Amino acid sequence: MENEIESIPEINSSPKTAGIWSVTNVVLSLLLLILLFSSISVLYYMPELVDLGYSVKAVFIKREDSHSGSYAKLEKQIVSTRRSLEDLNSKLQKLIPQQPYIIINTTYSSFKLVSLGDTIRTGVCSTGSNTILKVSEKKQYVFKTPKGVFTVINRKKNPVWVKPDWYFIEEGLPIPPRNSEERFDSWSMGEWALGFGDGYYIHGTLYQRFLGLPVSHGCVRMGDEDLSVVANTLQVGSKVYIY
Amino acid sequence: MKIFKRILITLNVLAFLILVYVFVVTVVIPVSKAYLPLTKLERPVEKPTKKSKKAAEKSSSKSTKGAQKEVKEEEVPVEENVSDKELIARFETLSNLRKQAAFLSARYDLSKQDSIYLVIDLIDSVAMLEVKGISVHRAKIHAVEKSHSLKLFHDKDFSLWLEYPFELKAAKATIPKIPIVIKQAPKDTIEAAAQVVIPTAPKREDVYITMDFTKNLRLNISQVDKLDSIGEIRIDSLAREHRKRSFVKAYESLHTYKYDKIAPFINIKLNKADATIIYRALPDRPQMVLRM
Repeated sequence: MENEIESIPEINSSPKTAGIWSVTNVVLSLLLLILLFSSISVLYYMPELVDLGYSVKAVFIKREDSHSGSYAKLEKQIVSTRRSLEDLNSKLQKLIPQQPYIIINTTYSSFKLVSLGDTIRTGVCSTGSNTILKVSEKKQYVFKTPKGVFTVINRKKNPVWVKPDWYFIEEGLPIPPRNSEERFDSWSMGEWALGFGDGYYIHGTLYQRFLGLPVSHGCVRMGDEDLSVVANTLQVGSKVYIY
Repeated sequence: MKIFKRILITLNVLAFLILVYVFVVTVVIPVSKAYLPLTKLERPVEKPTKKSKKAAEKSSSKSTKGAQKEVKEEEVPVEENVSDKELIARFETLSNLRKQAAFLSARYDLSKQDSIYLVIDLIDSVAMLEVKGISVHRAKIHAVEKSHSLKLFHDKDFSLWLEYPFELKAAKATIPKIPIVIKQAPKDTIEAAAQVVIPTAPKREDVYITMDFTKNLRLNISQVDKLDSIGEIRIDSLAREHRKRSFVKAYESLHTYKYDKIAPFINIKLNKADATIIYRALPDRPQMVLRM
């Protein structure tokens, strides 16, 4: 009988108890998942958490600098720093060319003509197409506009283009001898050609519809009006900044 | 049931301990260890030659004489009874002047080279490309986010940190550095005619650039313009790559206890065009000057 009496409440309470246990278990299981997920999240967001830690730490850093030294010492330091600032400013000012110069943007094929710090003309041009013309395993031509600072080394009125080998290769034509008449072209380069070294020129073009696009073989091509202004403004020795 | 519950409780306790361990090892220790980590900066020392020694002696004697004169000329008021507030205000002035001097000094140093360099001015919100001291391109910075680790600097160290240019170690971007097209030379005029293509404006792809510089600085450049779907995918994959690397490092530090030095970062937002121009214009190993 005793056994029977003891066993009755167990049977009656088992569904309720099982329910409570299951809720607790579910909560515990969820908590376990959250904890494990948090550990992974800490690893995942470590850079952000560390940076957040720095911001907390920065609050507690004792800034010795901010209270060290007397007022007089500070003033002296301020005066000397101001002086070195003025000196640096004047040094940087001296770097600005006194002659007009041109800035060429190869990414967007545009130019800016500057004189004494003022922009006097802006416009579009054509720059290098960034094409590699592969002739053979060993031989190739790269058509890109060089970047950096250059100097106008010559100015040619009504220039004659001496076609290089790549022109004939690109056209699928046989390469003529060096002094062949086929190489000389007196109309393609426009009214002016300003050489800035290594065979690169700022010149005119027959393909004015392609201005603003990177289509040239490395030279900077300009529209007729722009070229006229640029050629009349820049002299031998003027700077050409290409980026 | 009771056993299951006990197992669950034990697992929870273990998981909690793991979480604490992970947090302490990957976050608390690196933060606490990184106490003013960038104070031990060394100025690049130039080996003195006989000529430079003589010049330095001359200039130092001149400058000391000059300085003495100047100090006499501009007598500084000695006010020892100055309030803390005033002292701090003057110190801030000095600190800003030092930063400005560091910025100009770095730019002047770089202007002696032939390469194009990057100038990031976070005070005026401008990113510039300069060469030989001439600003060839100027772009507005639309938004800036800075690492909190930058707050750990002492002012003097911060000026020193900024005084010497940052050199690029590695860069990753969603756009190619140079959009190269490879063309095979035609065999004859017929093949050449077949190759002729009417040029069109190049497609401007979405830009996201990550640049790792010396002195552990990372500069992230993103665009303010709305991203297209391909751009989003590319940027996500780049971000995932970085995240994966940092996750692996964090995981490794759990047992190696090795930590990287503080890596301050700066995130800036530019126009798509400006970001493209800057990335393409810079040489492979460009240098950068920072003002903040």
